[in-house]
Amino acid sequence: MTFWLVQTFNGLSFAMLLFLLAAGLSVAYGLMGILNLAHGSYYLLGAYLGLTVIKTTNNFLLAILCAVAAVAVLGVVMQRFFLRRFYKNELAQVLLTFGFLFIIGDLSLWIWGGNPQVLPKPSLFEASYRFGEVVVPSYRVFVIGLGLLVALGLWLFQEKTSIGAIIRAGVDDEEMTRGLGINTPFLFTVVFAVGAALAALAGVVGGPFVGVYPGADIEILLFALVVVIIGGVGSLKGAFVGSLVVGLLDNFGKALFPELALFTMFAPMALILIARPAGLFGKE
Amino acid sequence: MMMRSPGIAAALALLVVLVLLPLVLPKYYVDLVTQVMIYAIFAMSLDILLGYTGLPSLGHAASFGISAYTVGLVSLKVTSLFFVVMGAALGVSLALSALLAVLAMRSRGVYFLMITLALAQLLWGVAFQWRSLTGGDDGLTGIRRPSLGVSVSFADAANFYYLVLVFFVLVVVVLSVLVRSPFGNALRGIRESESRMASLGYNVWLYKFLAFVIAGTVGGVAGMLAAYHIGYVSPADLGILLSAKVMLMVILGGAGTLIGPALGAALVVLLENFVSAQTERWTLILGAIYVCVVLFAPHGILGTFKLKPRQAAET
Amino acid sequence: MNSPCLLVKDVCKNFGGLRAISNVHLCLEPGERRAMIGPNGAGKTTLFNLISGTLAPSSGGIRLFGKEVTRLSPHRRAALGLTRTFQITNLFRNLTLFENVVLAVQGLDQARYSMLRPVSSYTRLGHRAHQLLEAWGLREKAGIPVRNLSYGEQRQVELIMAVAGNPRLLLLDEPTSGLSPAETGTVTEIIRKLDGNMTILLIEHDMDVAFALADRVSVLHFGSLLTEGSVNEIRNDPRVGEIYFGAEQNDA
Repeated sequence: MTFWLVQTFNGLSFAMLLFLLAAGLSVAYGLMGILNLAHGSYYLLGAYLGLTVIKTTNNFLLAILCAVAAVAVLGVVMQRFFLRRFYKNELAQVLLTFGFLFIIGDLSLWIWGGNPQVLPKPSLFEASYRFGEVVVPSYRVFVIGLGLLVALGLWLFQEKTSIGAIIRAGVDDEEMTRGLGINTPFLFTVVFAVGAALAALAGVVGGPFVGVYPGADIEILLFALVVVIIGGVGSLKGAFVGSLVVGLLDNFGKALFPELALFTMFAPMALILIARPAGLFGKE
Repeated sequence: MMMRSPGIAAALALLVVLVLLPLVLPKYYVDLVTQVMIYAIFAMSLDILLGYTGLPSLGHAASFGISAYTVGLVSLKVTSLFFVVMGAALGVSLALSALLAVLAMRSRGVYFLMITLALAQLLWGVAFQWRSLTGGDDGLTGIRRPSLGVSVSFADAANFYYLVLVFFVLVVVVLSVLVRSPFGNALRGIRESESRMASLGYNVWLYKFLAFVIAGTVGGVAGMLAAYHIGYVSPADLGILLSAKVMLMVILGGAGTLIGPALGAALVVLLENFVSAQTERWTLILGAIYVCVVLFAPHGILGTFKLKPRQAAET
Repeated sequence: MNSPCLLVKDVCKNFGGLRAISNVHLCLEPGERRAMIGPNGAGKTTLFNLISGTLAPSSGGIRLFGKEVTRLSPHRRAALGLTRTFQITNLFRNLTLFENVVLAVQGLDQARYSMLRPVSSYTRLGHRAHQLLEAWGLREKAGIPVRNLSYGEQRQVELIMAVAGNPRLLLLDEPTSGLSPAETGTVTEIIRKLDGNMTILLIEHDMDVAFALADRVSVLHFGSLLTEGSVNEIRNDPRVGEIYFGAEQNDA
């Protein structure tokens, strides 16, 4: 029983990280037709920048703010000057963003070195709670809470605000939305920046338990892609459900079948795609 | 079979150069050109899928890697008889590409890209985790050069070079014939407009399936030769980095031209070898090449068509 | 007893909650020239897609030359003798005009899976392609990539591609869309002169073209068949004017 609780908990906290990444990735494609493989780089950079800020100031909140701001700016630059030109041209985007992935990854390696590092937890969440035999690190609770908060915030924004409605319309039928005169490049850039910021947030917040190391960008990207595939491109709900599925499966998979861990994640994805080629909530 | 004479003359000249090469160049360069030919085979195989049929697979390393692993497993645990190993390796790549094709072709557009990537990653994951079979992260080492039952040792660089050259020439001839045939012609039509092809009577699914299987099997040839060449297989041979690299080779050289991707392969392999010797920042430079190709040379060196979004009529 | 060329029986098509086609019934006799008219959004192209096999009906059935084809894919229907043109020009843009037509000719040829000999060695394909281009007056442009042809020429190529295989039933989706009056006249003439044994179903916005080419006219409105009749009957039917122009006077 303890085992299941602990695993579920760990799975959930990882799922929240994935959600932060997948949300941005999914909406960027659904709304703007941008498949950004360098999304993993935002995570990596967020983590590394957060690490540096914490090491110099010992302030976790400041680390989050700096990392998020810096990466958001990077995201804006990438979207406005490079990615926007290749709307719906997936092949060009794949190669382009791969290039950025390599560039940013190698620069990070150069600057921060090749050793895996772990971000220190903020002192506020260093304690663990005990429930009988179950030990629950408060930090994980924080991550889950943060993730749910962001999910709720995004959902409210999408469902209850007019801008959110525009975005939903844009994902549903961007041609029509453009035709209605709601062609706001500014809106697109903002949405993209928010996606990048969320990824950076995931990097900093995930740093204490996932750590940061060369290759983390590709690793997390693959997880995020599986989430988006399962959940369906452009769907926030899909990103949430997909994250839960992947996060929990990965954790349980690693705990129960260590030799087949990655298989336990990709196999259900393959099965879901066989049944529904556009993902659980994606539009065909 | 009529091909334009300048084309044939150039090809024969190149062949002569390739045949004479090991006699004049030191071992290091012979090895390098061997590597170039292996990756040229790999790139040409992807060209059939990407350049000619218009299927941008981000998982082409799957057939490369699975063939390499099969070579490792069979030659280390069963027999080192070349024709048995080759039969196994190519058979496995063929079967795998058939399976991947059936699964991937259910999706279109960005889903297709993502699922080809994810399926290859699935295999990567299996290779990475299943230590008892695949050696996990360490991979399989100690793969000996093939024995053909003749007294020639392929551990010798020049001899192995000639073995690879034979495969290279075979692949070039077979694929050149294929792309000029009615089948190859149909692939190009599918690339341009699947809906039109269907309305003209073509069974588009079947053509795409066959393209996948052919590309996968030829990719398996490259994987097999690569495993023999280095004597070592690892999960990286199935990974996304390799899939992206071979895609770059195709685009850089010019998708849909067959020779272009071979050239692209030569360029990337030679650059990698040269640059890695000078600096540690090869990955950075490779990334910059990706960006530059997309921004400034989407046709590639020999390309006849640009990276472009599918037409509106296509969904 | 000749079975009808095309029989569309009580066909419906729903997209989610939207009923795009409602209980449409259509019957074409061999050799007939039928025009299908109706305002934008009436469902004409959707109906075409159902007939050609690109879409599957939600209910109802389709028979082609007496054969049940409701679940048959487009390429199998092509093998039975059905071809179509597309409203948005749908050609092989990066290939030359000659290569486009060869592909059209190759479509039902038994050599189309051949992997050994080059296409050029199958002289019957090139021969027929040249024949078609000659007949349409486009022979000199054979080597030009289609994307470099004028829009009017591309619309003509749309037609050539569809007739290359000697179809028995030809679906024309707004063949004169976007053409100048002169070009429209040319294309109308070409269509009129097509093989009399070929059955033609034609979507047209240009009423003059539709009435000039058709024997009978079907009128589609909000996904269902409003009425059907000879050209004169439809021309004089006030309801037809109404759905296009509202309740005001219309001039036919």
